[in-house]
Amino acid sequence: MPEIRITRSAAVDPATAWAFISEMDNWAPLLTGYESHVKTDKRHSRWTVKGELAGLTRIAEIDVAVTEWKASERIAFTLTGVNEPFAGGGEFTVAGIGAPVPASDDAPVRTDSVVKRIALAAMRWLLRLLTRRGGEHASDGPATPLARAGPAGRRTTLACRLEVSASGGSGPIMNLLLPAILDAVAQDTAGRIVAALEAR
Amino acid sequence: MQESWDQITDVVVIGSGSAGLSAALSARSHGAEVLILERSGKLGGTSAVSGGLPWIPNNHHMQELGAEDSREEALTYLRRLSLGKMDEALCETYVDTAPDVIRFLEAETELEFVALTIPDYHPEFEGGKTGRSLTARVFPAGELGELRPALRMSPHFPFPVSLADVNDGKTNLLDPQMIADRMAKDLVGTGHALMAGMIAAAQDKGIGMQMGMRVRELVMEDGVVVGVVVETADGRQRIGARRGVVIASGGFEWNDELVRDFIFGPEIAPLSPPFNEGDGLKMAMGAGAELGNMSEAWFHASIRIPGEEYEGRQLNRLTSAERHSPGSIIVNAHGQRFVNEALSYHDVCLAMREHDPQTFEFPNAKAWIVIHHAFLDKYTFMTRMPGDPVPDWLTRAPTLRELADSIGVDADGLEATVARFNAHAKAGTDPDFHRGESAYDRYYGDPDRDGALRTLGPLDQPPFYACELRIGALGTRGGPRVTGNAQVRSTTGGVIAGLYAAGNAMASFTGMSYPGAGGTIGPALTFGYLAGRHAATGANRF
Repeated sequence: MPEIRITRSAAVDPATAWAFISEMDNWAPLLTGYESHVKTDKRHSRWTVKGELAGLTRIAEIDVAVTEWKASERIAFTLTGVNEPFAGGGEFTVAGIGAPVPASDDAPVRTDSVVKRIALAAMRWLLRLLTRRGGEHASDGPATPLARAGPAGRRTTLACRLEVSASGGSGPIMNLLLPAILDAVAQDTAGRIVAALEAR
Repeated sequence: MQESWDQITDVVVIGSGSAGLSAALSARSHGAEVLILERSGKLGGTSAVSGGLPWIPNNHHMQELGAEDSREEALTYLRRLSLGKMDEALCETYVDTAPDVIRFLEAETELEFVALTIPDYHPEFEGGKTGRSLTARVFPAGELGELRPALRMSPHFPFPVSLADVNDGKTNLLDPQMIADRMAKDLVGTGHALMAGMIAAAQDKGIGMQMGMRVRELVMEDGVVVGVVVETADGRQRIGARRGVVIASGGFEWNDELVRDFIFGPEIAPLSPPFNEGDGLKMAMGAGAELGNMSEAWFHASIRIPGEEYEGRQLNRLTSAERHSPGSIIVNAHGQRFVNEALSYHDVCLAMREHDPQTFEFPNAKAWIVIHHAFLDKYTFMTRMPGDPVPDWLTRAPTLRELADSIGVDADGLEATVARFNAHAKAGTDPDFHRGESAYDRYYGDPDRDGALRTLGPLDQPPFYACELRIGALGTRGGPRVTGNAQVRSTTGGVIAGLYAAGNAMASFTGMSYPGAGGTIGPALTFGYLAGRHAATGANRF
C-alpha cells in the first residue's frame, strides 16, 4: 500500500499543537485541495477535496473515521473513498522536543514492492506538476528549512503517516501515481499547518 | 523603426502547437531567426493534449504495413468527403507536400514516426486507406531540460504510451511495471511525444520560445505586417518581425461570441486547452484577411464527468470504447437511435447537429449513451475500468423504462429501440445504421469478437446505465484563407504581405470532412512548414 510519512517541527509547545491538530476545523482548510468537510459525529466525517494533476482537477469525497484517540499524543484514522475506489488510513502524532531539529526529517517512504519503489522514483517529476505549492517544494527543497528556534519546551514535533491504496480495475495504475500525489499534498499541507501554528 | 521594438527577430510564430513548431523549425532550417510566442504558461498547444497523430497520405511509412497509396487516391478520397467545399489547389499542395514534411521532421528532430493500422474514417469510400495515420513513438521528455515542466500535459492521455504500442501488439498498455519503467525514463507518448520532440529540436536549434506572451495586435506598415504587440504580465511589448508573422494560435472554440456568430447549430463543448479564443482570427480580420470555412469545426462526441476541470474549465472527455464496444447505443430524447455509433467521433457529431425544420429543433443534440451491465464487466467507460465501482455520474436503473424516466427520454421509444437493435445485433447486423460494416467501425471494437460483432451486441443484462453525450470540438477550423505558401489572402485581392496562417487558425481546405485520425495535425504540420519556409526565404523588411 503506498505510504508516506512526514515530520515537521514547530516553534510552539505540545499542548498548543495538540489543541490545534485535534480540532479538525482548525486545519481542514489548510489541506491541499480542500473544498469542504462535514462532521457526522465525534468520530466520523466526510471530506470533499479537489485533486490536481497536470492541469486536470477532479473532486473526491472521502469518509474519515477516527479509530484511536490518545489525548495529547496520537490520533489514528481510516480513509474510504466515496466516489473513487480507494481506502487507507494513517495517524497524527504530537510530541515535545527539547532542542532544535531539522524540520524536514521525513522518514523514508516505505513501499511494498519493486514496482512501487520504481514508481515512486519515477513519479518524482510529477511533484512539479501537482500544485503550484507542490512545484515550489519540488524545486526549492524542504518546505521549512529549520524550525524556528524557541525556548526549551516550546518546540513540538508533528508527524503524519498516511497510506492509501486504490482498488478496482484502475487500482494498479492509480497506485503508481498515489505516492507522488500523497507526498506533494503532505508536504504542502504540513508546511501550511506549521506556519499556521507558529502564527498563533 | 528599430528603436520602437522591444525585441526584433526574423520570423515571429504565434502559438506553440504542432503548426507553430513546424513553422518555427522550417523557418529556422531555412536560415531565419525565429521567436515563438505562447499565450499560456505551457508549450504544446492543442496538439499536446491530443493523440498526436498526423494524417499523411502517401507517406513513406505505409510501406512498413504493406500498404500502398497514391496522390490520385488521396485526392479522390478527400474530394468524396468534402461535398464540394474542398479547395482543390490547397488539397493538392497538402498531398504533395505532407510526406516531405514527415521526412523533414524526422531529419530535424529526434522523432520517430510509425504508420498505424487505424483505417481512414471512411475506408469504404474510393481512395480510403489504412496507414495514412502516423504516430510518434514515445519520446524522452527529459531532453527538454529546463523546459520539461513547461510541456503541456494532457488530461486525455496521461500515461506514457503510444499508439505504436498498439500496432506492435507486444505491450500490455495497462501493465503497471511497463508504465513505471517508462515514467522512470520520463518517456511521454501521444501528443506529448510529438510536441516534446518538436520543442526539444527547437530548443537545440536556438529557436526562442517565450510563454505568457499573448499577441494582441499585428503591427502593419504600408499594408505589410512587420511585427506584433504582445500583452505580458509586465505590460505590452512590441516585437519586430523582419520577414513575417505566422498565426498558429489555434481556433476560436473557447470564444462564445465567435462560436455563436459563426458555428451554426447547438452549443459545442471544446476539448482543447481553454486558450483558443480566436486571437489570431481577430487579428487577421483586422488586417483585412479573407476568411473561409468559418462554420466548421473538428467535432468530437464527448462526455463530461462532473467536477473534472482542466485549466480551470469543465473538462470534456473524448469517447471511443463507449461508442464502439458491443452493448452500447446512442439515443435521442425520443429514445431513438439516429446514427451508427461506431462512426468517427466527428461524424457522430454531424448527426447530432442535424436540424429538423418541421419542429425547428436539433432533435439529436441532446443524446445519451445507453449501456447494459455486461458492458461494464468488460469495457472501459471513460475513467471507469472493469472492476471499479460504478460512478454516480452514470445514471442507473433496473429497467430500460425506469432508465428512460430518469434521464427524460421517451420510455416507449427506448424500449422499442433496444428491442429492435437487440434482435439484429445478436446476428451481427444493423440494418438501420449499418454499424459494423466498415473496417473503421470494427477497429476500436472488442478484439475478442469477430466481424461486425466486434462492435455489435445486444443490451439485455440489467441494470442499465446512461450518460449524456455532447457535441464536442477539438477545435474550430475556420479562419484566414491562405495560398499554397500559407500566406494570408486579402479581401482586396492578393496576399497580406508578411502574414501567414497555419493549423486551426487558418481556413481548413477540406470543408466539413475529417478524413482520418490526424486530419487536424497533418495539415497543421504541412502548412506550418510551408509558412516557415516561405517567410524565412523572403528578404528582411527592415
